[in-house]
Amino acid sequence: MTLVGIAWRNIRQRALSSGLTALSLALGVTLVVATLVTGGIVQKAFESGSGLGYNMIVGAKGSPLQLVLNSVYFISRPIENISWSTYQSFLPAAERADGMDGTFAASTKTAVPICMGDYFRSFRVVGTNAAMFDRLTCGNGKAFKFASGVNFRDADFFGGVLGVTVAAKTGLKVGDPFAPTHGADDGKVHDPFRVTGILARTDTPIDRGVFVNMEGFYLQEGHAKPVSPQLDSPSASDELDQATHSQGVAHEHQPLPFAQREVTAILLETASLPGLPAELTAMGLQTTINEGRDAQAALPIGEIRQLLDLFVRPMELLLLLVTTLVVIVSAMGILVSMVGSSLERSRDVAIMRALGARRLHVLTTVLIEAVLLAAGGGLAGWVLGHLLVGAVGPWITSNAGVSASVLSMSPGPEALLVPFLVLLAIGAAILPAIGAYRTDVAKWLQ
Amino acid sequence: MQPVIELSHVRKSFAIPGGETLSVLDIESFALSPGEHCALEGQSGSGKSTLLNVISGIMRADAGRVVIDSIDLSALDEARRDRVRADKLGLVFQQFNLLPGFTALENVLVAMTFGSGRPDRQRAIQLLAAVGLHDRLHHKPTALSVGQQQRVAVARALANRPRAILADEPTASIDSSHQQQVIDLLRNTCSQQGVALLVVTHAPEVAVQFPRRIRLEEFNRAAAIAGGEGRLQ
Repeated sequence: MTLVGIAWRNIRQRALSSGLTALSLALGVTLVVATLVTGGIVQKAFESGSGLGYNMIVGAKGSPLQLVLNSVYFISRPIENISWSTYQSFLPAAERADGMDGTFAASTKTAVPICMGDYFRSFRVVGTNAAMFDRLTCGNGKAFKFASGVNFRDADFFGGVLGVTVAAKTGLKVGDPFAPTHGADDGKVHDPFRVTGILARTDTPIDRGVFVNMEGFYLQEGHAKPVSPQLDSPSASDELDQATHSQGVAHEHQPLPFAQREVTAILLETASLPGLPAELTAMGLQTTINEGRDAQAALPIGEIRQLLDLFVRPMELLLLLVTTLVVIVSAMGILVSMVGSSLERSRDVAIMRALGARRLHVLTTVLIEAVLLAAGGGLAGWVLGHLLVGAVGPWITSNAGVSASVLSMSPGPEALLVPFLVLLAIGAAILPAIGAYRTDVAKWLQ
Repeated sequence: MQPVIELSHVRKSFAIPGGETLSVLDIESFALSPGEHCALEGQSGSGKSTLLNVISGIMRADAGRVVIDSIDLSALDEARRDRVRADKLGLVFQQFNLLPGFTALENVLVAMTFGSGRPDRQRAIQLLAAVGLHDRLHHKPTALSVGQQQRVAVARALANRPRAILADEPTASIDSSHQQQVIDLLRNTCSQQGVALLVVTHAPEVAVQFPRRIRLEEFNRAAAIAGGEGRLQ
């Protein structure tokens, strides 16, 4: 029989108090694991939005964080719109009506416009073009995949694509019509779009978005910017009209003239200028845009990092502190349990010492008991914590757009939890262990 | 032949309230030969338990030499005395002192854990079978009769192949009908294993069954002078 075997026997001998101690530890650890994993999920939810294939967002002057939250995460309200010409300044000659490169075309690899303000039920409706899913990625360079159907075509003015969560919640399928409502809560329902495709899960905010062709979006009531007739640019609408007809699509709608168009933001994938690293190009572009009067440029990664550093991490730290205190209190349960059983233990220790056990043996046995209780309770709590996250996982997935399951792990602290608990338990067991070490054998054998 | 247990000029006293010391042991000499069976007879307070504690190394003598199988305990620190106790001596207590959370087999294996050898499950089973408990291996002490508990205690005392067994009032807490069984068990088992046996008892009817019978008062001067209550110094 080993000392571990003896310690395990001692635990079983005091099954009730040992069980309650382990249970209290397990519940403490459950709380910590659930907090850590949920914190990790929140962080992942934010970080997932910063890897969507673009590295810069251009929008109206104001808070860059609000611009990012609105454009990437579909939370908060849009600041304001920016002009169509600002969007045009990022396009190459081939994509512009005037056949000339935009001011920032050389620094731009991809520019995707987004228009916001409408809702379909509780989900944000984003007017954009086909490049959103054809040219951007859903993270780590992976192209968007469709669970069913296909991306809408630019010429299909009233085509739309649904994120997987939206499709699951609304029950819409490819071919179904859906009519967005105006964001002003005035009860107005727009003309319907038709679902052309449903995206596969991305674990990003995209899953919670409704993406419609911006041409159709512009044609909804109240979406055209009011302009004086002389500012209208017939050539632009003519060109788009020409383009749609060249794709063989005939429809009864005329595209909105450029002069009546605005965009909420532009998602930019910057290019590298010759001889300059990509980061420097992006920084230079950001500075130039921000120095101008028309728009601001924000880097999603930087803003999210700032948000995490300012709010999320301190909150996590606070929660971690509270839950750590819970674990420490639970570990004190080991001390209480062991001190409570010290009378009973003293006689057993005296017997073992009489059988030849060294003081170090009994000290080690008590510490092993604490380690077994802490490791057992800790591991049980770890499993319970993950089961808890697994139980609320579907709710988190549908609301945060990030998959949360039994297997969701929190980076870093979670792996240290059980070892930390074991160390804590050893610390708590030191006093009873010393008590056992000092047991007066002759006295207890009388 | 070298004695298994040898005491010379052993003294032991305890501090008592009032700053005085109570002399409990003052033994000129004592030796127990290998395989020898001896009863030390003494009244309550004559220092019987203290003597066993000093011989087993649980207590250190204030003066004199305690030699176990040629190892002078007086020269050893506590951890080494513990090792000698585990390897050379087996202890049987008045209350049997089995570990309540452990089965009969585990009680024997625990004793082996603290010896120099590796715990030998097969030997532990053989020892329990030798005392008639082959069908009680996995019973806890509470599920055993008094006689069976004492048998486990004897098997446990033999776990590490000791040179001698020290039994402290092994019949004191059992009824007279079982006393003879216990004495027979101890003597027969020790004879079979070639182990020396030192039994301390207050019962003359027990002591009289041993080939060597010593009244503690005859060689413990502390007990003799104080009439069984030790000597104040």
